[in-house]
Amino acid sequence: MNRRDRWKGRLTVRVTGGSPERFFNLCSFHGILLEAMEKKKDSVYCYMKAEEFFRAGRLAKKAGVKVRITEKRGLPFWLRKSRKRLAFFCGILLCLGLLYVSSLFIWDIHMEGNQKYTDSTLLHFLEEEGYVHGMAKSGIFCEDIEKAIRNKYNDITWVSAEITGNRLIIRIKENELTEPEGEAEPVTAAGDVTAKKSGKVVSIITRSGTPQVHVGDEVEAGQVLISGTLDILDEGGNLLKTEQVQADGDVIAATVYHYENEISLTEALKHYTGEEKKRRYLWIFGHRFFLPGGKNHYELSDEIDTYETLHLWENFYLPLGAGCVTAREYQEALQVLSPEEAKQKAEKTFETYCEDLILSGVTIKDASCSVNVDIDCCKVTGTIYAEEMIGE
Amino acid sequence: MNKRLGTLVEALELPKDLCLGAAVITSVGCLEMTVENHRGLLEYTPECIRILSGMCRIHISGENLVISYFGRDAMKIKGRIREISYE
Repeated sequence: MNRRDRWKGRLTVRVTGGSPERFFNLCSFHGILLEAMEKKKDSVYCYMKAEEFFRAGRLAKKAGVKVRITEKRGLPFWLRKSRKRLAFFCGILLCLGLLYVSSLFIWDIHMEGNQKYTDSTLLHFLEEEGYVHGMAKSGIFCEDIEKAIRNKYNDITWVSAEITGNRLIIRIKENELTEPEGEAEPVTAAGDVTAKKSGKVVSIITRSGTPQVHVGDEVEAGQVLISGTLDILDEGGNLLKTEQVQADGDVIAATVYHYENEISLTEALKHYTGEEKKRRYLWIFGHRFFLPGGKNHYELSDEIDTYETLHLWENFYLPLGAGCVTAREYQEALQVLSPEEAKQKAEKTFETYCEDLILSGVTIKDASCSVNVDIDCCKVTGTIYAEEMIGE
Repeated sequence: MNKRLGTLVEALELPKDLCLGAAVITSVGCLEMTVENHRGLLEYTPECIRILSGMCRIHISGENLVISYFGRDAMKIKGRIREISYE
């Protein structure tokens, strides 16, 4: 029985007397499909669709055969048979109703493309903004979410929020070139480009304004590099008038970074004892219900929370799920680094500093560091010769 | 007339099942066969099935023969097929 027969109903009939072959030929001529035709004693049994039975009855009269139903299968007959099971049908209706109601809410907030900011950080921020699991879909404005995330995190360059099924999917693109942290200097009233760092000018490209420095000049932080005052001269070189413009240009200078850091020779380490306790919970309509047992009694422990939300299809999540909080016990121990280990660690921190500079757009020409290990600490000093854009 | 039509169809290389109403028989080993382009069922017993086609009568003999489906243009027979002959 195929799916269509299951929905529309199928009959097993017994054909007796007269000329069954004529009846079969009439059926085929009138487009009535007969299946699994089998002769047993004087009768022929076959399957036919329930909806074609009455048509077949007329043809049976013509062929002089008797057609009797021996078995009824499929949904229409099952429904008729089960019409007294009210509670069962009420359950189905209730289930469908619950599915419909649950489809009106958001049961999964999914983040994509975030590397710097973790899911929990962004979810916490969304919670502060009023977007939580289990809220009505009608109360979500994707444009507002996009705007809020962009305003809060400057290094997120692109945000897209969309509702698919009952999931809120937030796609994020982070700025890979992070700007070095520091206080932004106020823009001068005249619209000049000033130096944010001391250095020696290597190249200058002026797009608007009057350059105030030349290649090879030493500049100090705060010095005007490109002036916003534009002098307009006549053919004789006499000043006709001055105009104020917003200065714009690229000034690249050779700069020097002095790096200093101290690393303690003793550091606290976590030693996991191998003991762990799992506390399972059910997640129903946005609330967690912990099952008995597995309580965390450890003095020092890490907790890892993993959970899974039930979903019928890819984008249809149910307000049901299960999770587990795993607590891992650890003990703190002080570790004393050997001079070699301390040296390696110090060099590693210097390399990380250089990598951060490169990520912020600085071109490193030369870098060197020296490490001195004392009794209780390790001092690392380094000098980095770099080239970077200093105008702002 | 039929002989002339057959010669013409042969000469023009036309499909015989369409022009002469010849049945197309597809057999899978000795367990299953499909007859397309039939004109009706003449006799059915578990040991013998006779089918009318546009050109001749097809006689199928075997054991436990069951007609899997019987439609206007095609039918499928299952069972132990021993012999197919044309009358």
